[in-house]
Amino acid sequence: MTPSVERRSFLKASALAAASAAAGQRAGAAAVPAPVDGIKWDKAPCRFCGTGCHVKVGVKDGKVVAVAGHPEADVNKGLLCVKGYHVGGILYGEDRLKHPMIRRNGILERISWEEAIDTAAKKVMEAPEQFAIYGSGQWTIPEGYAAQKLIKGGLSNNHIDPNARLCMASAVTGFISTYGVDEPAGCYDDLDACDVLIMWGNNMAEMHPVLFSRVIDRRSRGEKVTLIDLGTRRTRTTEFVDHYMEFRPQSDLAIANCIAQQLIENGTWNKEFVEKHCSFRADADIAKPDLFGVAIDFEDYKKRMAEYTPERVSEISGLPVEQLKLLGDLFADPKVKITSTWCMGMNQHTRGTAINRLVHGIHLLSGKFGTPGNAPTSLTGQPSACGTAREVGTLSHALPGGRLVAKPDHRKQCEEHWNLPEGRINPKPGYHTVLMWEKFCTPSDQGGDIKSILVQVTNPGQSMPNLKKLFQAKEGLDDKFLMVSDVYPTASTELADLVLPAALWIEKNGVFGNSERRTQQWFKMVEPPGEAREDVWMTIAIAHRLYELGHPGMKDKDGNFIFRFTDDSGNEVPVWDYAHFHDIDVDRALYDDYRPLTFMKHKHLAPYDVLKEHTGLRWPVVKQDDGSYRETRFRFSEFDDPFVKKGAGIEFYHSTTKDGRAQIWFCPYEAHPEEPDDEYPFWLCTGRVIEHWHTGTMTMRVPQLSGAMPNNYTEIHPEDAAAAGIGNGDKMIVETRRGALELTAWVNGRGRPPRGSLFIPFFDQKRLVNLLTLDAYCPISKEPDYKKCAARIRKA
Amino acid sequence: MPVNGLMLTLTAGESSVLRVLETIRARPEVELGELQDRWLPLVIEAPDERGSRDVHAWLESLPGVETVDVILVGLDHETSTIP
Repeated sequence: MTPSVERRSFLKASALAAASAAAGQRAGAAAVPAPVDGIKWDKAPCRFCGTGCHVKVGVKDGKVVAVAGHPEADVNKGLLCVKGYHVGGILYGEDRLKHPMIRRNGILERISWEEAIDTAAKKVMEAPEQFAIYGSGQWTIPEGYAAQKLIKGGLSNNHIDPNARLCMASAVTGFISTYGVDEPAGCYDDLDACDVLIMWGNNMAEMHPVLFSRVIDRRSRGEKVTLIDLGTRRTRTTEFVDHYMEFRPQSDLAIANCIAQQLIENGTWNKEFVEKHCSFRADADIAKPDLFGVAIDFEDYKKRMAEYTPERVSEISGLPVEQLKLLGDLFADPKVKITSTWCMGMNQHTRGTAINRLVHGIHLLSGKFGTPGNAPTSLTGQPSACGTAREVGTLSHALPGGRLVAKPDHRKQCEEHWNLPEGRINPKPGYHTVLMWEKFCTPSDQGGDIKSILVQVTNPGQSMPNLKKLFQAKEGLDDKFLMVSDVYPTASTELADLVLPAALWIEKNGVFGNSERRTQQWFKMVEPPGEAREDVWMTIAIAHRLYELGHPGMKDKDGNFIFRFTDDSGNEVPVWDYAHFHDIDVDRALYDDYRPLTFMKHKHLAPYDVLKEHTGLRWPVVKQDDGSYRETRFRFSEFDDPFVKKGAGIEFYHSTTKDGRAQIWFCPYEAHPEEPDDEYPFWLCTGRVIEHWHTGTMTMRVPQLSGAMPNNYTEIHPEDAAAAGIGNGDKMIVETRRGALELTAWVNGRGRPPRGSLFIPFFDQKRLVNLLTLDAYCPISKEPDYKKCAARIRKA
Repeated sequence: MPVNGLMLTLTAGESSVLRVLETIRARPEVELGELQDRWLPLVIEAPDERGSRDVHAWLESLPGVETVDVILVGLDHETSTIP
């Protein structure tokens, strides 16, 4: 046999074994072992979204030759989505960045790693207090932890934020202000147990297709599960649901309040649950809302909610009274188990924290919480938005393990853990994402006090809102210095002064944390191309160069380098020197250092050695009497969560009111800051498509995916298109107060917006829709609203 | 020559299952695995991506096939392109 025929034979055998394993899993039969001849298989979480599917990766001759859904993974049970099948292909685009480059006279020129790290460190040294790191929910946990330690424990300026600020910050503030601690109490098991699934502005069929298939699979088995799509346009999800409820953008606040109003008015709220486990809360000043608000009593809550009758909310939202009453009745029925899911529709919202609070509130008010099938659950868009952004705390106000820079005891704990002198950690939060980029893109003499930014694992040149203001305005600011670590050329590297080629996914070790508190570990399987290196190495190497240049923050209180690693004999390993980076497992060392910090908020992560034996474990992971480790599926519920006091049933043990209670918030409906008007009469919404992940940096390099969806477009209602003289496939101009873009019209396409609404995906680097979007954000979470702004159209 | 592993979910009912199996077996690009209850593993080896997609679409269109899930995708490094 020729080598290619031989390889195909192996692949066919492997493909059949994987498919048989999946079929066997469905049928409840024993797993079929995959052939091992020639192909080495290992496990890894998928590189794309926050679902956390686990894949089996087949490697031969140093290259990925096959990817299969992991049949033993709880999350995906052998299945993957169209992106997941092709995840191996992201490594092999022809234009991978392979060498460090610096911009000279407008041209990027190849330089050595030594020069790149020296340049980066010297730029930081010019103004350490004006240096920022911008990362993402694609950072692995060790990568984020190292960056966090460099900024907060070394440079003491707190200017670090992940792009997760743009995707789930409102979920964080919603969880914290409701339960006193971040992240969902439930998990994906709720999808297997609920009677009703309400998707709040959540196109799960395209954005989290494997989770959606879990629910659809229940139907195919003959189970009754009612699906409700609360959305602002018809999507693939709509095709499967029992009830499509199309509401006017922003009026989700009023709809949630209407459910609460009906529960109160009809006396159908769960009085026992509320009396035992809940308190009521509202913003002290709605013009200046904060995270914790003020306590109100039930009578006050009832009075405030009274105006949100189905009739009035029907006028605000456009939902028929009957649909609003259907929602009220479902939450009123104690026998019906309801799971709510949401993602960007509720988070990217100028009242993002408020709508998150309200959805938690109706679950608490109805007692639909804490039993399998009853859960308010946010879904994340990135593979480690939860693990790295939220748990490691790479947000500008946070410290690892749910700590805050503003709290003296939290700073002290981290200083002691990192062996830093007292007072090293700055109590003032750094700049959040929008502010960081605004300061970077503003001339220094006009208050632009961020001089240099290191970007890792994200693409702000495409993903920031209002791009002209928050990214492209950097051009021509000669005293600003942009460093971008990435795997391919992007809209960000186009403006970068220094480009650092990064290792991707299984070209390095890693740990991710998914949407359901599941921590997942993998090992490096293939070599990165050219001179591409691990992001965590770059961070440590820059820190060490700063140490050599004399930055005092790079020393701990004993005078040692803050990233000091030792081997089994206790000898220091110079991991900043790439020749020694792999002498020890740096990922493991960082993870082991981080793990004890997770205990304070009872987010106990599993030990590394336990993690590597699993396809992920959901925290808190607690050691049992027999020495084994047990994960927790349902947090705050006595039957499953080991930290709930015996006899409590439900206990919110990090309650903001220190009494074990969750907070049911009142938040009023408020109009959007940029509602359509005579000049700009359309709502513009942006988002993803199933083929592409975020800005398309990876998926546009996979021929099967880029071929299936090569360009973005404008979804438009046929009557709106006709009124503007636009036919299907015609070029049209979409314009907002921030810019204009020429796109192809898609009438009655995959998604179908109602009259007066447009939808444009953001994956296409050739047509940057974020030139149009609004940078207004939630005043509490600071998360911008990519889902709503005013636009107008014309035929091109 | 893309190689993909698929799993079909067939509609319950003995006669429809047998009919589907016979129909699929006639396609030269398809190799069937062992039917497990109503879940059928199979492999497609088509000459190119389009051929692979065509077989996938054909499988989806067959009466008696509820869903088609892709389980494994073999990668061909020679086909990578710059967008």
